[in-house]
Amino acid sequence: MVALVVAAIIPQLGSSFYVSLTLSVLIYGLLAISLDVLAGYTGLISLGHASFLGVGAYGIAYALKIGLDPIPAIGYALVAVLVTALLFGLVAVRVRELTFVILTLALGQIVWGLAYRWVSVSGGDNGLPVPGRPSFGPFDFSADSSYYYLVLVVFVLCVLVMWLVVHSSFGLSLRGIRDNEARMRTLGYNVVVHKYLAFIISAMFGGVAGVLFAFYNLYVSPTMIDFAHNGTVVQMVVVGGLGTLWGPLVGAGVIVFFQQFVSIYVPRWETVLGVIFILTVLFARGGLWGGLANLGRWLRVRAGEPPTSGASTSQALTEVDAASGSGD
Amino acid sequence: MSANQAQRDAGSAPALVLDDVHRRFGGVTAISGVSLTVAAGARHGIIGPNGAGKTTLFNVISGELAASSGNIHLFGHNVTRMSSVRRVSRGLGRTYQITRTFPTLTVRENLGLAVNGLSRHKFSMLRPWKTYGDVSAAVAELADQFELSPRLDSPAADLSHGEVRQLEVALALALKPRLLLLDEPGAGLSPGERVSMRALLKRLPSDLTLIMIEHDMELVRDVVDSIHVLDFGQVVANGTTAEIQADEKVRQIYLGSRS
Repeated sequence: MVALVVAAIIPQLGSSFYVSLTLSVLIYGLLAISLDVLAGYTGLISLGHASFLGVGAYGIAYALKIGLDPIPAIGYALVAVLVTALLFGLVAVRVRELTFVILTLALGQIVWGLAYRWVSVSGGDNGLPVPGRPSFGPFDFSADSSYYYLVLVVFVLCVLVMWLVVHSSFGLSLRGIRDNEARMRTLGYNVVVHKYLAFIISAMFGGVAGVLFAFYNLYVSPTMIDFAHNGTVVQMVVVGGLGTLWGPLVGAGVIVFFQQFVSIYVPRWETVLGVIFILTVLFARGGLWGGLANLGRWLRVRAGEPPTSGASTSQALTEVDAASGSGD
Repeated sequence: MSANQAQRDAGSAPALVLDDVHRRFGGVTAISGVSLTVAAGARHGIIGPNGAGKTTLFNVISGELAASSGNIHLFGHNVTRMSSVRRVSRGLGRTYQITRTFPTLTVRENLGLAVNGLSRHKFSMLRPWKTYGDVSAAVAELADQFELSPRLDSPAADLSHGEVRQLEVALALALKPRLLLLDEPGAGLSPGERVSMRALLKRLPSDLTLIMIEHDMELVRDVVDSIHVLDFGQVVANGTTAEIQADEKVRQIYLGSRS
């Protein structure tokens, strides 16, 4: 709630740089959260998730190039994402664990290869320009600050839907598949269908992030879906906290902040980011989000408030105590 | 499922018929021509030394492994070519020798998954699952029945071994199976836990058909009425519990003094 209010007043601060920075965080945050549905909740870590950002963004650029209006172009882009997800999902959900990682990596490279080489459609190396932002009736989104509110609204709606999905019966089935796929079958679940649906849902929200990205950046190129960017999305989810939904937004925030802000002042920002990544994996297994949640509980208990839920709090507390004890 | 339907099934067909079932792994024959019939409502035991093929037989019955040859009938329907998911919807439930619960999920979530297994709710996406009153009620009832109510919000990984065994049986029963396969429900339990497991098994509804693999003869004697003895993938003896206990051949297999 506080975060929402802060997010709402950022454009009023008058700095276009911070608006642009926050727009990046929201768009990559949406992409990372959509990956978390698949990686954190279903246990299928995809190294090709940026492809759906790519298909969504290229879909917009191409549709506008062939003369569609912005609204049909959005529909065109999302259908392209859906078709890609339906096809890729058919292949990907047949395998698990490391094979899934490698297969999605390969699928991601196919999309990158098409963006790079299919020059007549994608513009190849030069990428494609996006001529302008949409306007709906009285609402004009051409300025960064007004587009920002559109992105914020879409972001909140998408995350709300994903929150409902991961807390639904279907979401519970995904976590069951993550924990023990074989047992799910003997409980009457057709796990392939559940994984396929999870893959498509995850991809669609990734595609929405792509549409937002195209209108934000006004230019699409193969770089945004290359191997490094696919890895970055996974990094956002892991740093933020797998299976926490909000964690990947924090992860996206940290990584975008380093890429676009710290990089101005610290030439070796990538090294610093790498160290943060390693420390998170080693010491905060729930990612930054899990670490913050534990810290919050610890502070509350310190302040004399009774613990909220018996078992988990006392367990978290002993962990925190053990950690601080060894640090003294 | 209604009691009437159970009676009709009980009258019309045995719960399980295996007809000359084989299962080979490459050159190794794990199950070699097993035929057996278990009447609906029966309490049946399968015993045999380690490596006799008992768990493999369960895997073939539940469909996790395909039979290499032979036929399997469940309540009068041939299920030999049916997937394990579809056999579950035909009333088959099972537990595992090595317990298979969902470790990072709470007991409540474990039970919720099992309750949802055969319902339409499992594809519901836009409503938190805990808001379904019927699911919550079924979860609470199962937790009560298996003495897990105080542990509902603990992750399954935090349960004691005995509690995990109870949860395992609760998961299988949540689907209201008509035939339940229990793979060593007493394995690794302390004497105290064993007593409560025995009480729990004896409390199961009487129209439920039970087939149990177990080494603990005391537990077997208390729960089952008839037994098949398996050795090297073949049925070497069958009869009532008393007959099997008196059988000289069975004693030899268990004492390892076959000639």
